[in-house]
Amino acid sequence: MMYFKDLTDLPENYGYLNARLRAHFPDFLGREDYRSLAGKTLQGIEVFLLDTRYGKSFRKGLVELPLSIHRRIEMALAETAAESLNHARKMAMGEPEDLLRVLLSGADLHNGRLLLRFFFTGAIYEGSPMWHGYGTLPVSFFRKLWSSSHSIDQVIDRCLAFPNPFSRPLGKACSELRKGATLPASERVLLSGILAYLYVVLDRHRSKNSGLVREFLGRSIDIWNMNIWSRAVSGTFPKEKAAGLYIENGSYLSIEKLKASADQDQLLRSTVWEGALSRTGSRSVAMIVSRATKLFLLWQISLRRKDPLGIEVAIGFCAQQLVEWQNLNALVVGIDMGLGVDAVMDKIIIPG
Amino acid sequence: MEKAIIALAAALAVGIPAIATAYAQARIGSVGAGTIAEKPETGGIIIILEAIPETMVILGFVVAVMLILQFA
Repeated sequence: MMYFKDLTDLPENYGYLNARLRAHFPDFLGREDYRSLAGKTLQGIEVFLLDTRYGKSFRKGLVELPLSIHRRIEMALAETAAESLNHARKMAMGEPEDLLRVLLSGADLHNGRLLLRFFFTGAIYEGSPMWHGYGTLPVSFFRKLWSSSHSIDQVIDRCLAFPNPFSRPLGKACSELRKGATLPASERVLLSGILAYLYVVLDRHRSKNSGLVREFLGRSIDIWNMNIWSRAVSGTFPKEKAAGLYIENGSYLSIEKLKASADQDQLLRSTVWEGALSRTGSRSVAMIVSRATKLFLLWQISLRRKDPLGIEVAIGFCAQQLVEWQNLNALVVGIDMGLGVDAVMDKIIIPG
Repeated sequence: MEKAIIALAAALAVGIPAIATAYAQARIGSVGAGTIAEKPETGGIIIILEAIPETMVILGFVVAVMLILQFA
């Protein structure tokens, strides 16, 4: 039995996966591609996308759904990105499969938060939101929840009955919301539940690769904590309340440091997040979260050449796919708003 | 008895480098496949890199032949 367990942790499992993933890297768009796209109209973007790997989803949208050009592009980007990330997970076996599940759990968190925000605001939304389709919970599950969204009780029941480790935390988070908890408090319940399961998955593997994914989670927690901290400092909610919303196991920002820091320099100086401190631009604390998120993505992409037989390639691939998706969305919105090429390029994340 | 020891020495001379070569080539092969997939123009260099560990087992084989010819 131990022999078979050892087999699943062989570096050869990474060899095949990484070779396949590396074959996709040349398909990602570069600075010049973005610059040329930024000068086009939405119709020009459409024509460009038809000739790329986004073309298949795009054609499907053209034929099946009578949507606006903006929405059509948005759907094609989401569908292709999800397809590409799911494909990566399907190719993995053994340790990389588990680690990829952890890396892609951001989709479940994103979808869960969308649902919670919807219940919290009570907004009426036509159609279905853009679900991220590369998580552990299937998009069909979220669609069903959305269709029964007139009753939060029904959503809670469905979540608790669904046989998936991530649906229970979502049910608990909805239940907190129903009891009158704030949105960040119920989001914290969701995030803590998901993290508890992810750490169980990571504990199955004691290797350099699982250590790196643990750091990935730690940095994600840092960003959550930074977000809470920035709201407390800017006065959006009281500091005592913020203290209860922090999550433990952050990589570089301890809860003690978060509680004791009164300004961003004190919090971030001499940590990996130092780059999120603005040197010339806005000193607004709200901006540090978006700068830290950008740093986090760039760190992940920078890992891709560190070890060709490790999880680094998959981390880099997933991040690069998500960045391209985000970039193309920013580009479409920028063009739609009539921004110039330089203004659009400012919103684009280009790996160094 | 002496012949058996010589045969064992020859077997080890070729067997150990063969295992080491296999180990090295497995890793170079999978990483090389990724590199060629990413940059097809590197194909020639990767084939050379893949072949380099082969020299270990060839030298081991030569040592084994020498052992047998010299002492058996």
